[in-house]
Amino acid sequence: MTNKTGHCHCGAVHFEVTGEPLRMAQCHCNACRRITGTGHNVQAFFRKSDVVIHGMTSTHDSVSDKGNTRTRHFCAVCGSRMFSENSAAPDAIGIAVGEFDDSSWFKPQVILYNAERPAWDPIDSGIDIHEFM
Amino acid sequence: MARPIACLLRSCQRLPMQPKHASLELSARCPCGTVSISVRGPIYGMFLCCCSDCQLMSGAGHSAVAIAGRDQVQLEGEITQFSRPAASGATFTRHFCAKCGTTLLGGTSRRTDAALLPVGLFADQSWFEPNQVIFHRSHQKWDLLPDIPKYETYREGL
Repeated sequence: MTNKTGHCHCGAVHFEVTGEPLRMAQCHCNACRRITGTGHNVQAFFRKSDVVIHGMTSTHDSVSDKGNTRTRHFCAVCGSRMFSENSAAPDAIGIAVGEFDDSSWFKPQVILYNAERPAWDPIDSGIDIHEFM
Repeated sequence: MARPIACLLRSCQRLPMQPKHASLELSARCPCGTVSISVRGPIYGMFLCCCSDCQLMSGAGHSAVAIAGRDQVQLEGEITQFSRPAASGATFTRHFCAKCGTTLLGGTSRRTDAALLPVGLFADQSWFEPNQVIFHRSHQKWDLLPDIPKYETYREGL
């Protein structure tokens, strides 16, 4: 099985993933736009047991529309977006796709919060689109 | 007379540029509430960037950037900075919230009078009309882009 690897911009945090993603998603919600600075967030979710993280991240907790706790991880040195956890799925971890050394395997399966998508940010109309969650 | 913000990205010797928006008033706060930003003034450029640095910083396939005058931007709260060399040879510095990691502002040593705003930070993005994609050479095939001109690296001029 091919390992997937990645790192933050400064290299203080890096990671290795075995196994295939559980889910690949693109989210346009206000919270995801703010933390990425662009029109959406793209994440691949894996089993936590398949992910090894080297280095320390900083975290910030927030509450999702469903009332779950989201924990967002970033590199304290360079601020790169890294990982996310959700209290509703404690065995899974989301990895920001931009951090992978090679993300050619990625393809979003679902668009979330299409209702909050900026007009300038296009999507593939052929995939599963949700106006909100 | 102050030099107009022109061709921030590469050369400072280009023709003066007309603002894309005569004046905007924008404000935002990072998700944890530690840092706030307010902008009041013209927007000089709007673009998307697919460079590998922007992918690493955002975690997405591209950044979305609006250029304002640095003296028209106010930040309040505890900020962390991270600097690195840009492809142009300039030093690019990113300012982010120490508590939640959210980018508030970017800047380049080449034009210290310019502020690069992460558009996603602002709840209202109806004013944002990117007219180019830069660093398309590192574009990821899974990242859909609007139908606007695409440049392998920098465009000559904005």
